[in-house]
Amino acid sequence: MNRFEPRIIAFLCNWCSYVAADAAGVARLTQLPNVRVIRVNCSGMVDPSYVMKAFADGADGVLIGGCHPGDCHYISGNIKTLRRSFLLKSLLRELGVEDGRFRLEWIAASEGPRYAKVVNEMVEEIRSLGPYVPPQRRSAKGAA
Amino acid sequence: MKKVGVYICHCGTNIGGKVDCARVAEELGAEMEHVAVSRHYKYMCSEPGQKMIRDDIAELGLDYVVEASCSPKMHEPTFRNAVSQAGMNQYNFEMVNIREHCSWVLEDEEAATHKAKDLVRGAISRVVHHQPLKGSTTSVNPKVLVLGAGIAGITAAIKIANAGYQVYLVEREEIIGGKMAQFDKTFPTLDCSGCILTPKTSEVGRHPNIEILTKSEIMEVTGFVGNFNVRVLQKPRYVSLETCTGCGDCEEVCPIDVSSPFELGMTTRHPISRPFPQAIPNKYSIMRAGMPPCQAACPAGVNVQGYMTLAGVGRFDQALTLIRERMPFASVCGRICVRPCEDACKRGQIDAPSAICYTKRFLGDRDRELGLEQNPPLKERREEKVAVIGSGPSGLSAAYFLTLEGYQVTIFEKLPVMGGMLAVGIPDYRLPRDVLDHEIRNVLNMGVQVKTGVTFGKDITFDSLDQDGFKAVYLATGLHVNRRLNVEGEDLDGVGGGVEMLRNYTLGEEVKIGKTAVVIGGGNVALDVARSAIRLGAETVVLACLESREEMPAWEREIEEGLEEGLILHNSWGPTRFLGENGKISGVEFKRCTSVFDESGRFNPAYDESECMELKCDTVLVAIGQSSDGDIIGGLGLELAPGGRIAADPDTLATSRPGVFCGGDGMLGPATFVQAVSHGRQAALSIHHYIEHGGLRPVEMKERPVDKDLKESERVRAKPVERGRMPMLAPEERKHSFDAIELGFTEEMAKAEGQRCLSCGICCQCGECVRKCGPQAIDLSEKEKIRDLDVGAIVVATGVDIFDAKQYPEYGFGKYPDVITNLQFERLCNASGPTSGRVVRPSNGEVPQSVVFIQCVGSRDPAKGKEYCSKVCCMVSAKQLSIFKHHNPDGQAYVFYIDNRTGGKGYEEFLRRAIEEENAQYIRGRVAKVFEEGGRLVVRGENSLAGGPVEVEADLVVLATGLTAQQDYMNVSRALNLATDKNGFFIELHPKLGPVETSLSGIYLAGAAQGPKDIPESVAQGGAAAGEVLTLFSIGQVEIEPTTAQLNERLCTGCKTCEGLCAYDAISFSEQTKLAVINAALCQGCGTCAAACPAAAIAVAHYTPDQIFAQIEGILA
Repeated sequence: MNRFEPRIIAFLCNWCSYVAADAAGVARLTQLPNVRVIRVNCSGMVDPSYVMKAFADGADGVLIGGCHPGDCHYISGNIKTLRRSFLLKSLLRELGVEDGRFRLEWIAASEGPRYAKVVNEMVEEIRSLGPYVPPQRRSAKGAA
Repeated sequence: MKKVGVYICHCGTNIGGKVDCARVAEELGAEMEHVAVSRHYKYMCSEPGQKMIRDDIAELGLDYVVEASCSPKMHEPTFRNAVSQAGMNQYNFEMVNIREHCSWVLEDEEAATHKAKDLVRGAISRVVHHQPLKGSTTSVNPKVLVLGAGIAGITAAIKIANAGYQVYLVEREEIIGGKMAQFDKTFPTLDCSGCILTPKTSEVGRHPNIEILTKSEIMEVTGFVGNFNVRVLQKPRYVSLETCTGCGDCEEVCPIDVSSPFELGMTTRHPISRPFPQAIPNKYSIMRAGMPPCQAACPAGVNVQGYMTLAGVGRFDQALTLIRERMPFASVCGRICVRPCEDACKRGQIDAPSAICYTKRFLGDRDRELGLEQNPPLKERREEKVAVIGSGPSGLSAAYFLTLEGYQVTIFEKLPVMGGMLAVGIPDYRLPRDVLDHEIRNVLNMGVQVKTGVTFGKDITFDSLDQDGFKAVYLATGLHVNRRLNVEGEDLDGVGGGVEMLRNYTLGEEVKIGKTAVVIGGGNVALDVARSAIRLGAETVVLACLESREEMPAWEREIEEGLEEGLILHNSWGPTRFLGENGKISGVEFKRCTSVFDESGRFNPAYDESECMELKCDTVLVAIGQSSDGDIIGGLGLELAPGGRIAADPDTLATSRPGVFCGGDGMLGPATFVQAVSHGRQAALSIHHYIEHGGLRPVEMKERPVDKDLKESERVRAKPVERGRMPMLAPEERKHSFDAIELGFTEEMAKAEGQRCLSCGICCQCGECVRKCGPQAIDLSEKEKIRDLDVGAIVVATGVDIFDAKQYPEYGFGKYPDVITNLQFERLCNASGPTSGRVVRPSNGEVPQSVVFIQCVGSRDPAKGKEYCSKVCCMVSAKQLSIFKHHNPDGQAYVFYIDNRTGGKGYEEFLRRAIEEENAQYIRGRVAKVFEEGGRLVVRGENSLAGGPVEVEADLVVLATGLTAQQDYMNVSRALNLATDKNGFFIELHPKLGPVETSLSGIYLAGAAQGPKDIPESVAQGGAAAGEVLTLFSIGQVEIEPTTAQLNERLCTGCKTCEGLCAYDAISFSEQTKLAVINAALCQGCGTCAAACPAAAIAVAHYTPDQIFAQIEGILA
């Protein structure tokens, strides 16, 4: 079995997306096994360095899940995440991280099915992108 | 060396069936440093499991514990508690979710084991970075807010109040009781709903610890468990709960009937009423939807719906008095107003707007003809004197409203006549002199002094008025100077100003009009000038203007009437020069105007110089606008606005000189009559406030207007009456005289017109009830109020709505009157309902012989309705058919059902009785269609047990409509930050173990807001929620999580990035230290500041970067 199994880190907010992931579990919504969840209070606490760290340590994708705009448990933390995500994305592009590897999704507590869908979609997309190789290693490979 | 204990739970086979727990425990125990012990067990949450951890901590001296099982949402508190009992800080514990996130959602056992191992490895790697933390405690405010006063909310409220705590019971409707108050009998005992509910509601009503807030909704909730602040919007009842005696006198005089929401449209009610005689609070209240569009559109804010309604019932005197509360000139306004009210009238969305202006004119004319002077009552006479400069509509109105307020007003007028433009600018055929004079006299008779022939700035000044003891001045000098075209030949003999011509004619001075007159201008004044020229004997009158016909600012009606009278129109022409012979005008040369306004909508005409036209004439009247007398205005020493008009505040009309106010055309530029009147009233209010209190008045809050779009409920109120047509003089008759063209409405026409009103505001605030009310309990000016309530806990008991049966058009609900919902059936059998408890056909009032119940309308139907079972409908229909049979023992009941779901104590037995004793025919199958045939309804469906189609004739069809979440559940969900499921029901903490708790501590659920429930379940939940609240109050303290933001002062650069990001204002900047300061009491621990800090000087305790980094490393290792 040589299929590429990407490793994806998901930062899920405690109030919406983490609950949605639980709800997907309660409803036994089958998911691909590639996502590893880290629970945070709010998507707004996900420091861009966490995302960079995950890629640096070998993750092939990173998902941030927050409450829908307007529904944030902390009033507007999700909006701040959104604002940061644009710069983060362009920074990731510089590092050779394709857009499909990083996702920011609004998933409400009631949206278990959506969570499962996002997970499966993302795994498939990253599978098609192949493993993430940081630039140094890439050039090293090129030299070899 | 740090010691970590690792425990993997099998959760029976929930985890163990997929994840090789033993392998995870063994491999990680071997691989990872720090792991002192690694075990797996069937049920870690059980007492032996917890004891295993406690023993290990004691015996092996563990520093940290990692436990992998279900979601931390479920058992994190359990294990935190367990490690605490063994003396470990609870924050040295980390929980891993390998059930919801792993074993339950993965198919492959190897993959599941692999994933579980990654997750546990991440936790072990992370936990060694954890710090022991200690939360602080704060006391609980022992007050509770119960949201929703149905049976669940009432139960919770009474129990908590009986325990001695203060309860705020917040209810959206005007009474408490919820859906249960609408029911007739309850299953399975068939005891009367009212008889078991009303003792409860009356107990709430008189309970010293319960405050009921009716017509109230929550807007915003801040704070946390133990100390919430809830902002409540309290809509006006308009009737004082303290003073109302419930006598019902008000209801008798109310002129309006609207569909009753409590009776689900099966009867009408007056806007002032109470839903049923035993309601709590047992007081009246008024249904008001908001300000009707007509009133909202009227610059003067005249209560149009009010006087139209009163006219509709023939109370003409009261109608006129109501007009004169805001508009002193009913007859004048009825003739010349631009009628923004009629443009806004929602009746116009059905056929034609109400003829509001003609009705108002009738009311004013009737007053004059009968010699009445219906005015609002004058207040006590005051000593202060006020000067009004100018006797136009604005000045007269200011004088009128100031006099009503008691002031002694003197009007100073430059011209020899009063009325301003009304007198000298509007020709008699539109506004006859005697009509105007009568209404001016009405104002003067109230005690207003007048001095005509006095020019402000020459004969009198601010200083002279001051010396004469005037406390305030209102400048309403208008615009009386003709604007000039500034083209060649404008000073030729025969070229004159239109406004001057109108004024000279009115004042009896000589007016020379030749045979051929050209009028220049496209507004209403130009039309007045042109039509006057026709009447003054001109054989040919041509009107030329820059605008195309569609763009002309004049009213279409005026243009049409002018054309009927022989007026010739030349659109899109601009004058280039006036041609003369011997100093006399002989013609006008025009060039083509290609556009009047530029792209940004400003007046900036463009011409095609190559296309020219010449008109021969002997008279030219220029009517392109007016301006104020610059000489006088400039010399007053007041601040001026761009354009040379006096600058004044748009709301208070205050000028730069204290005590001097300015309004009307002189301040606005060319405006309308009704705007001038509006300014008169605003000035009067400002002057009253200025004299009474000094300074400027606060601007009044306006009532929220109703929706502009026509609603179904309004459409059904439309009586089939056509808009009245104004009787008019024929064009030939009117051409040669200044006689009034419009002849006026008759009494019958005015009455019919009043009845066309749709009552968009519901209550029309006509004031009939106010005048009738003995104890004076009614205040129509009551406004929305905001209450800020501090409470320690919140119970959400907002209940359910009923599924909209119109989603199934094939059942004919809304089409056939004898197809009703089961809630409507409750009202039919209810003794206080629309039929006093007689079960009859709504169409004809006859007793039905055959009644068909259709089950699952909107339930168990993911395609068209809701996926879920509404749970109560099977029993409701069994109950209702039993009641029907008790009313009519010879009748026959049929039930089309999918399955009978009658779980519950005594429920199945009740169903059996309905089938066996009441002989109800239960047909298993769906209904395809309900239709009418020969005056009877026919229900066509299938019988899935017998096989094949079946048709049943019915006199009455009852739809067992499902229960849905409240339509506005999102408002509550947003305000509380409370999660809902996809159907809009609030999510409980745990489906089995936390049915009334939510994920937000201190907020509890009760009743059907959490999901469809019957009465006993709702009551049980109300009690359970009360139990939770009382437990919280009894503990009296809550722990505040220590997971707040922490500042590393050594790293902080004082850049203030964090300060603006904090949604809780928990971060400030210290000017002394030049560093950020975090207020831990306000911090909620969201971590936005930490993520944004460019110096990484902020970290949220328990979520620090080193902890998260370690977890990432562990997972990906």
